[in-house]
Amino acid sequence: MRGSPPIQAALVVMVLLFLLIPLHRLTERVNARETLAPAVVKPTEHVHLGLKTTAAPFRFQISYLGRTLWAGEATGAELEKDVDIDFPKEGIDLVVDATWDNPALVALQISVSPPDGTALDKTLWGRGKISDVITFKEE
Amino acid sequence: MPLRSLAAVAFGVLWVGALAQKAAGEVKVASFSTVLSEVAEKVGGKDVTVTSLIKPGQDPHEYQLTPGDLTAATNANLVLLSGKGMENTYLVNLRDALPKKVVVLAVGNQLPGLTKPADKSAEEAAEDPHWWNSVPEVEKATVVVRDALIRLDPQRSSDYQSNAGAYLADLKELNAWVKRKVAELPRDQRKLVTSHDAFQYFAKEYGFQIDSIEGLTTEQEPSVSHISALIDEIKKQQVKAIFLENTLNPKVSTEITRESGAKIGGTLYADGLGPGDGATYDGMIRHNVTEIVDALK
Repeated sequence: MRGSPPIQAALVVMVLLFLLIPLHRLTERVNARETLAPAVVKPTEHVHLGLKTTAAPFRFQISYLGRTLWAGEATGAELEKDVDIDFPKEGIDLVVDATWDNPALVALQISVSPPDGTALDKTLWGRGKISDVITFKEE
Repeated sequence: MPLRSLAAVAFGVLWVGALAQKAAGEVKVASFSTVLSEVAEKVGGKDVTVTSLIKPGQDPHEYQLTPGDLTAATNANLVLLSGKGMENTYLVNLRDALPKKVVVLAVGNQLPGLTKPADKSAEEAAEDPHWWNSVPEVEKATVVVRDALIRLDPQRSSDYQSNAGAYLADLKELNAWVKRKVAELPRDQRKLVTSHDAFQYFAKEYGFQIDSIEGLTTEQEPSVSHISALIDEIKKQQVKAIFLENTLNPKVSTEITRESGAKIGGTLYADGLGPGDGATYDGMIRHNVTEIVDALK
């Protein structure tokens, strides 16, 4: 028995439409390159910084990742400040610059206390000027 | 003979004598390292002639001793080698061919070494010869070259001391710059993947984790399993960029970046001085550090 051409055509279209979904899934272009997971936003931590010097007054600047964390002119031999920075297990590098009017031998102790309370400190020496990068890392 | 003629003859004799003394006392250095050529030139100053047998941009791993270079080495008082195995393919022939009067100094052998961790294969456990990628190691090498020149030519000791002092001051300034530049990069992002394993000294000095496509030399072909593991590691560690080198074919590196999603960070001078901005040690280090830090930020 032969059906009418419009009905046959409609059946063919319906079958093709029905096959379209699995065909599309089979032929869909798979992107072989997996993209890296988006970077996790690191939470900042409350870190306590301290400076202690053998001679005051002095001017100083402490920088981290290219931005100034703390700068000023100190009249006393000891000062401290709290900053919010990320503190990865690999540690942090602080860029320390300090100058004194008197070119005599001076020492500057920099202390860092991460939130868990383990105090870390390093001492730099210079004659009227100190400029260095120091690493603080929890053991 | 008139007095004026006598004076002229006497002056001529003295002048020729002085020239002969200078020629006899001249120190000739032949260097198989582009970095050591610069060190010898800086420390030796005008009194030392340095012949660089490996040219900037040339791969020292693939260097082959030529008759012309052997002649240059034979005519030298001092032959400088990188050491730590870099010249292993021709070292025996070189030592056999050189006269006893020529001092052969493998500078790297005077410096503390770095080897791959114990979990690597025996082949990979070889000592890394690329000590010049850490500025403090080049400071130590400068002292080694200075002392060798003083032993050869003690009359010019003060010149060598003074020249070395000036060069060491430049190196200290360069190292301070490197530390500041690297400090722009968080320590947890200091993951360096390079074409061949030439940056262990750099990594130790400046706080990087490293991995490489090839081994310690540019002749060690990477295995498929190593490449696969490296791609996995790059993805896992979210390494932003990998680095090519001026002496290597970038084909494999390019494939890894395609598979891992990391970008090409730039081309590094791994095996010594190169062309262009890498033609001096200062330029080479500044180029490498800038490429690495800016790509991984």
